[in-house]
Amino acid sequence: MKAVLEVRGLKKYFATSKKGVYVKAVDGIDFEVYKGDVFALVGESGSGKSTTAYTVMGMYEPTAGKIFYRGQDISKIHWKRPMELKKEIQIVFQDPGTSLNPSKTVAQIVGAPIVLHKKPRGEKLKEAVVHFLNMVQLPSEYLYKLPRDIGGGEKQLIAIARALASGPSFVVLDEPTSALDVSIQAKIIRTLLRLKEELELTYLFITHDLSLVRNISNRIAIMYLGKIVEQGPTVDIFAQPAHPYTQMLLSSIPVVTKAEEALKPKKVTSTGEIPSPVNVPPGCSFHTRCPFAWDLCKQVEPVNYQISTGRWVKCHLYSNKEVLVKKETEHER
Amino acid sequence: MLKDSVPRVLDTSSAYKERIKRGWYRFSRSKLSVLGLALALTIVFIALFAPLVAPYPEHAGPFVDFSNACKPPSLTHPFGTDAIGRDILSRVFFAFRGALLMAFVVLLIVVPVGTTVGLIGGYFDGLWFSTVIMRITDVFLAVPPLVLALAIAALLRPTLMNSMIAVCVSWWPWYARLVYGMTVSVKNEPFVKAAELMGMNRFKIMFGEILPNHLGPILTKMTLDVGWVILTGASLSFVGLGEQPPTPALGTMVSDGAKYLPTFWWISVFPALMIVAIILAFNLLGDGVREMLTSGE
Amino acid sequence: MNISDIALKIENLRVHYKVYRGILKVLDGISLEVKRGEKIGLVGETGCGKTTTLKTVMNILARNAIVTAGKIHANGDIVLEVKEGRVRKKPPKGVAMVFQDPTAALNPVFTIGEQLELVIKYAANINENTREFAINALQSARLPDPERLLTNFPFQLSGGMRQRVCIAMALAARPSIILADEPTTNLDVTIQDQVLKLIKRLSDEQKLALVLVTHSLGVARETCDRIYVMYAGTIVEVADSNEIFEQPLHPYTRGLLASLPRLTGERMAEGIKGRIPDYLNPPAGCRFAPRCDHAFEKCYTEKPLFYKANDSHLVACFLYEEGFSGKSGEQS
Repeated sequence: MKAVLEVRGLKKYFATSKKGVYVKAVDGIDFEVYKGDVFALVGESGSGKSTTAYTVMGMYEPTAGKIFYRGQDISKIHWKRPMELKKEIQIVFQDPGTSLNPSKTVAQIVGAPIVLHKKPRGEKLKEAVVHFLNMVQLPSEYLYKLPRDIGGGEKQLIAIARALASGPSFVVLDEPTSALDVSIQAKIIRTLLRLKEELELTYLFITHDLSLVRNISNRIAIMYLGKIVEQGPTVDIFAQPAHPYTQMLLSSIPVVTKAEEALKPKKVTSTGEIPSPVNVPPGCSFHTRCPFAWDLCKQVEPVNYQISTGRWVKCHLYSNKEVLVKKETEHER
Repeated sequence: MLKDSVPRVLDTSSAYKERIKRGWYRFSRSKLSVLGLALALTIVFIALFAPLVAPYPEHAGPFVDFSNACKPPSLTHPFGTDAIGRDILSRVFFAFRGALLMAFVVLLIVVPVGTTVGLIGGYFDGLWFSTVIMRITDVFLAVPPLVLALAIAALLRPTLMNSMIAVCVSWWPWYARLVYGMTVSVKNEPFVKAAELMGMNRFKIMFGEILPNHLGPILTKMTLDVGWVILTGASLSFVGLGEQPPTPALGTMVSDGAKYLPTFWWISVFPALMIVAIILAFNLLGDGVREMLTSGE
Repeated sequence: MNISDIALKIENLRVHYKVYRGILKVLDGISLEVKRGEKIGLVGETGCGKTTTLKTVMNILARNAIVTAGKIHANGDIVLEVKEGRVRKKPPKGVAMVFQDPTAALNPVFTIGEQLELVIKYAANINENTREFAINALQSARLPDPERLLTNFPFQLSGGMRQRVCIAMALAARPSIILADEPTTNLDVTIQDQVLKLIKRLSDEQKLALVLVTHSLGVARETCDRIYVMYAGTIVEVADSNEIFEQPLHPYTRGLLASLPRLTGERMAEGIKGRIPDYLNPPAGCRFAPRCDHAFEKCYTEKPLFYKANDSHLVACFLYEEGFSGKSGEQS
């Protein structure tokens, strides 16, 4: 099956004021997203998940590596990308308070992409905007409201309506519910899932909330300090987390029922601090916090080992498994 | 104008009416602002209809009546008469015209120019041409506006037009700096990124997305500036660079009357008080505009 | 019940805020109590008034806040009392607070050592051997290399370490009550886990009374013995940790729990319909009634009292008026 989005060897470094010192936000990652996936990129601060999403969107140009969308090389900054592509790939940001222009009405905000890409005028434009508002279950009374008159959850719905207004097929969601209360989060998530089915969308979902990931994504990649440490189908990873960091993450989630408590791994509990991406530990970058680390881990970075189909892990503990060879894509030949 | 990136067809009048009502509520909360508005409107009215409201309109042109010279304030001449017998009140009314005209023209030129420079400098902050234009702006900012205006006006022939040009040259950098600062702080916000990512071109983003957020501070500064531009114009005409006689100008009237102080004090004092009144009016109005446009709650 | 057992007691607290549009009647009769050595969670969503409650205890309310009713005891002293319209306030002794954003809570231009010393001198009233005391405080917060930490500035530390420093500072004041306002919300999940465990351990070791304010039910469950659920300025339910999750009674509590994404992968509910009420014109009866699927006439006109489901489980909901084992009654 051909992937909708393919990321190969992606690196994104940021220069610092010190010469030769870089923030290695993303340091060589590979993954694919297939049509209809909800692919979750999970990690804490410094993991590089947001940088990855923004590079896919074209807000940054990759330092190295390639990004392919439907086979087309899009590894450029968004100014250099074709207009067609900007219709296709859209993003919903984390904080609706700053992602909506405070001086514009809802009609103008949601109307902007419609005008840019389809150029209707007058009544047709109004109808189109109302159509997208209704898609996120907001009544047309919202047309002339300003963002400051709208609550957080509804603002996020408007941000979603705006993202959908250009008719994309791939949507990047950068922690869309982290800034919202639990009771509103549920509504937003349900809306997102419903829209995915109705409009046949594919999602790249960035988050740190593993409970959420369990409920909405079918495939996930766990990131730590710019690298993907574990990747595979959600159900499998939650049932048997392979990488020690995954286990640490899972054991740290606060849960509300005994049933969930039983699912949390007990062997690995959280210790240590997250190192800064300016000063990444040598070898396996997780070794400073890993209870299973031994000498090799401190010196040599592990490669990706395949545990089962579509599931691999970057850890020396699994070195007896098959090494995942980087697939040479058709485009590179 | 390309103020909005989306046609205004979608806005209904009722939504605007609501916002105007709210704006007025915020404005009128302060009695002083309302006073400022009233004063400012009076001044504008007087300037517009000077030939009709001035008691002696012909005194604003070539007119001499030595028998009536240096008469103190009275019922027939509330501000007194000057050294060649002209009614000061009428001349002051006509002087308002030049003053307001200068303010209008200067701001009409300076605001678009300064704002554009500031927007471009701010949006492309970090790139070479942004640095270049902001450094040029800095050079102009380094010279005190009055000094710069004086220098330019002295180079050119003294007329109202030239004094306006002089003030323009020294005034635009303040708007450039104001807008630059605001643009830089806003250009990395997600809503600007969202506009970029959806394919909006840079021109539309600067003028359509970023600029509307700056309107509050810009309009406030414009309102306050009316007073200050007029003061700068008066300073220029005080030293003879500006409106030439017999057309009345506030600064000229003050300097003409200076030799008659303190005996015939009214010849200088009333024009000076009128300058104060104008600045006060527009400062109060400007405070009100700021209250109205910058949402506090 | 021995009075000296109760470290903090809030009775019927009402707090309003004066704003341009009118008066926001935020807190509508909050009552809670914490015994020595007990850890309670105050759980609610944004805008429900939980921070206001803590700020009232610490006497750090904003200028436009008006306390219209209530009484607060802390460590045996009455620190707030409203009698015949007059408000009598006293700064509480032995109460320390940990805030949500450690970056904002620490002064960026002073070293950790300097800030700790301020706390030790003024809050704990210790003037000798302050450096040793400071090092001890940092050690008990499990901070590595305390001597070097004293010379560090806040910007040199990570978020988790800053919060631990704030906890150390709170403890250096030698309090008997700790108020923690969403202390881990801004931290990464693995760090959050460590900091919560630290707070729990320290409260246990030093027999402190802990009030943990959070919007996360999971966090409250893992750290606290008893949980108060707050909605729009009212307490709607209070019970022991385990019980409130196994037997949630109030429709709001149930709605919240149902909306949580579960590790077990069960379907999430739709959320709770509606919005929090406008505090300018809050509902006359139960403040949750407009959003409640089970509301009936009485809910809109009368305010529910606390009804006992059992000795330690109280619900402010008319659905339980004749319910379970108890009759209507006020919170004990």
